[in-house]
Amino acid sequence: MKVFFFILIAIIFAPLEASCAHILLVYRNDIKAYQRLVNQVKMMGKFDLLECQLNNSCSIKNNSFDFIVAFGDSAAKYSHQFKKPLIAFFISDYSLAYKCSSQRCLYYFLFPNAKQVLTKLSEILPTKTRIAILCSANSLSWISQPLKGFPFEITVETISSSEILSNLRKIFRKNYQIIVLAPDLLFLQKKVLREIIKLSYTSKKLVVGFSSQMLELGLPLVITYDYEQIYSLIPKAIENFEKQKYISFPISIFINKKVIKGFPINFDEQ
Amino acid sequence: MSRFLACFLSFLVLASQALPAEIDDQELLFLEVANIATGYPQVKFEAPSTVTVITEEEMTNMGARTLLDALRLVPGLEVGLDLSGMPIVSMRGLYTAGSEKILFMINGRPVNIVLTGGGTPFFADLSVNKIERVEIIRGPGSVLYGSNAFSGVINIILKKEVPTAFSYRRGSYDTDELSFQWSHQIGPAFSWANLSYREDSGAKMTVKKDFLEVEPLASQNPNFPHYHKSNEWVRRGEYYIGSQFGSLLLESFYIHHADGGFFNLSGIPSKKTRYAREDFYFHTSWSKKIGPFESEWHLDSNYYHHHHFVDYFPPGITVYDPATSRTYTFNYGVRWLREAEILSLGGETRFSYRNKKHRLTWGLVIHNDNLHNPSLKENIDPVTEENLPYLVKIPKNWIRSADRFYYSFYGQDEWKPFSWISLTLGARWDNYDDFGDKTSFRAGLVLSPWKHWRFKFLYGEAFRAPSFMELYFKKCPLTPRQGNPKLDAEEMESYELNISYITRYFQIGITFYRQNYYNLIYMLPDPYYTLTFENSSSMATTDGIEIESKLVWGPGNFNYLLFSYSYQDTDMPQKVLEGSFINPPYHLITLDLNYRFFSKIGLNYYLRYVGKRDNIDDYLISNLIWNFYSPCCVFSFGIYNIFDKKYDLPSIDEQRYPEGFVRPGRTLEAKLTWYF
Repeated sequence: MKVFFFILIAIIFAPLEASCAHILLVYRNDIKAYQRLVNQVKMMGKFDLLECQLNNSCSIKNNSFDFIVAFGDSAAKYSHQFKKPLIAFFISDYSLAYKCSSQRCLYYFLFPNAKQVLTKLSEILPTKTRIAILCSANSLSWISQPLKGFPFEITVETISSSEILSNLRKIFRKNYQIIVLAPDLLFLQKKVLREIIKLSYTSKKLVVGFSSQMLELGLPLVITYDYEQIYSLIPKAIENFEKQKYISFPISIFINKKVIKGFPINFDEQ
Repeated sequence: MSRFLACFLSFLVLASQALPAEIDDQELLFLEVANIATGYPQVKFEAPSTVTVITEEEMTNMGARTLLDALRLVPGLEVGLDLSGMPIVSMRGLYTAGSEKILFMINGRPVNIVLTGGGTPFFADLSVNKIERVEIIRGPGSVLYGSNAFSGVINIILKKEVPTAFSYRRGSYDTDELSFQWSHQIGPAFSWANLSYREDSGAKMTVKKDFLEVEPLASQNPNFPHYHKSNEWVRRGEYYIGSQFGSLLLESFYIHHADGGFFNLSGIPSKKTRYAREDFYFHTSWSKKIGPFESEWHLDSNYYHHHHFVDYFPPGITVYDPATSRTYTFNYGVRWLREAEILSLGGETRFSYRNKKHRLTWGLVIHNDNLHNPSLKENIDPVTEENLPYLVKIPKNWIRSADRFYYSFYGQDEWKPFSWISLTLGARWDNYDDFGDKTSFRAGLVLSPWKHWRFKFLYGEAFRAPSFMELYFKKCPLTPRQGNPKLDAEEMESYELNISYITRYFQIGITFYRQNYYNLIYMLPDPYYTLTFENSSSMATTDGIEIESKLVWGPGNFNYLLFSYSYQDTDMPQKVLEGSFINPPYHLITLDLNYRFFSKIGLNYYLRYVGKRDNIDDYLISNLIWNFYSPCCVFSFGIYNIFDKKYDLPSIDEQRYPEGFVRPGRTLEAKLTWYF
């Protein structure tokens, strides 16, 4: 009877033991959000975890893991050397996606791409709105897919970082109604962002930002992910990665209602 | 890499942190950042010094015409005038003729003129059109910046990356200012230019009482010209150009300035008096980063030309000289021309190393100042003492040729063992070939135990090398001041406690400080009315409280209220008080309210209260500015001193001008900036 019992237990646990994947977590531990996510993954208890904290000592000597979970650009860049399947979250450098085959690597970007943003905008904006997408050479890859099929007149304006203040004024003088900012470090420079906010108000041209912080700093409209939801979805995304499934993160429109009243755009109330 | 470029890159660094900010808690990311406290960008509330930052937006909104207008936002900062009408900037109650106790910097490089030791001759009334922001340390800064960073440091960050624009300003007293700014990327070089020219006929104010205790209008001699109005005309050009090739920076700044002074030495101005000076500054820097190490190399050169033509004592005046008990009659009046040139050359190399918890900085400074070609011409024969209708060269000069060489070593460690605590320690050793060596220390402990609170405990030392005027000025009967080559440097130590509460929309900081001064240089009168520069053997102190706050609200965060209050109590030895010029007000209050209407129109109300001091009443002035903003232009119209309050600024010498320096009442200005 005892022998049968042990065999039964072995049968029950053997597949579990076999399915417990070894994963390498790569992240910067000075970012609280990453620490929080790492703890979430640990709490799942479904993986054998190996950790690599980029800003502490990180020396991975063998490839005894099944796949890599990376948080952030630097973690993803570091992970490429291992030639293992990679799932990377919070990627802002779109060029990283070209450095790894799509079958081996899965990237969840920090911000929704141009097509996703415009799709979201089409839910609230009237047709034939004249839209300019503002980007630099660095963020041009954000517009990776052809922007066709939208009910807008879309123009892509590429500006150089060295003459940005001058170029911004020229763009705001043009006949656009909406200006969409591509996710770019350039637009997060304090001086540049403040100039964009000032020009947006004085020219009454709605600027769509990509970071919820921009909303608090004065932009009336931001389209991006809802990061609180992403926290809860990331463990699921890691689980699904084993099964070669991709889950999409929900995109939200954040509106500062007090501010947006001052702009001559008719929104769909819904 | 230049400090300015480092500053520019710092925004990139901050921006790169902003991406994780999406998923992290970095509410304080968009607070004002300054490089001035450590040489690296830091949120001003976390810097190991008491720091104020004035932004371009604040200067535009408040209708600031020159840097002086903007500086009045700084707690504990006061403005006065010297005999020639040159502004004197003082901080924390320490008030001296050439503002030599404050270090002026352009893009992080010291630019004080060694002749007087101060930076006000050129930089106090800099046009705001070329200023991107101003960073101010209230308190000592000698460990990083050496001499003159005594009671404060003012770092003027000039604009480089600008939209092409032209602006014109027109105001009361025939004030006209033209400005042009441009920047462009040409191949690997990014170049910029910022040029401006200003003319101002100046206010014509009645001189109530003069040095000779004579009412100008009631002159005893009916043949005297009735020079009873002040004479403050200004002609000034400022030309700043530069280029950047990767990490190589080249920039130059040429300023020529001429004005008619305010009073001349008799208190009876003449239209012929002309104080002129020009300054050509050139700076180049290069930087290299290898792993955790970074090096910066700077070369600075400065050419200063001093040209002061003074026309005073109207023809026919009789003067009694108490030193000789003689009476002199000047049939042709008295005129003189003083000239000198100063060439300064210097270099600095700075290294830094950064790891997880430490940032080490160390550097070497080498500098040489050379005063040459001094000359003095007067219309009094040096042998016969005859009053002449023309100028003759005087063999006994007004100042002697001089040369000063110094080198300095400094080091600083910023240690951050935990995220809520940082400790900064620094030391500097300076060796001057004229007065010897000085060592300065600093320590700053910054605690952030709770999310919105910051506590700073600061200790700092500073010194000020005596200026060439203080060392080598030669006395003459009409300006009985005499330099003293034996002077030692002034020294000070400062203890500060700063408590700040900061959120995105409201910030307030309260600073309690005590500053002790040693060896202060003052003018000691002798029985023959000759004033000789001496070091005081007694300690002087200033105790004070400064409050600085900002409240931001409304769409776009355009609406704000800036408020500052400072209380300062200076305790000086009696002989310093008598021989020098310490007369600070106890209370200073500044309020600046900015409100945006209809997205394009801004209204700004500025109010300044300066408390009562010895012999000078308190006063309150306020300005009202309308701004109209559009992507192609900005138009502003301002009423300055809207209630037409007459007020006096303190003068360098209370005994000479008991009425102080009376200032104009209400004035109007309009300005249009057009962007191409």
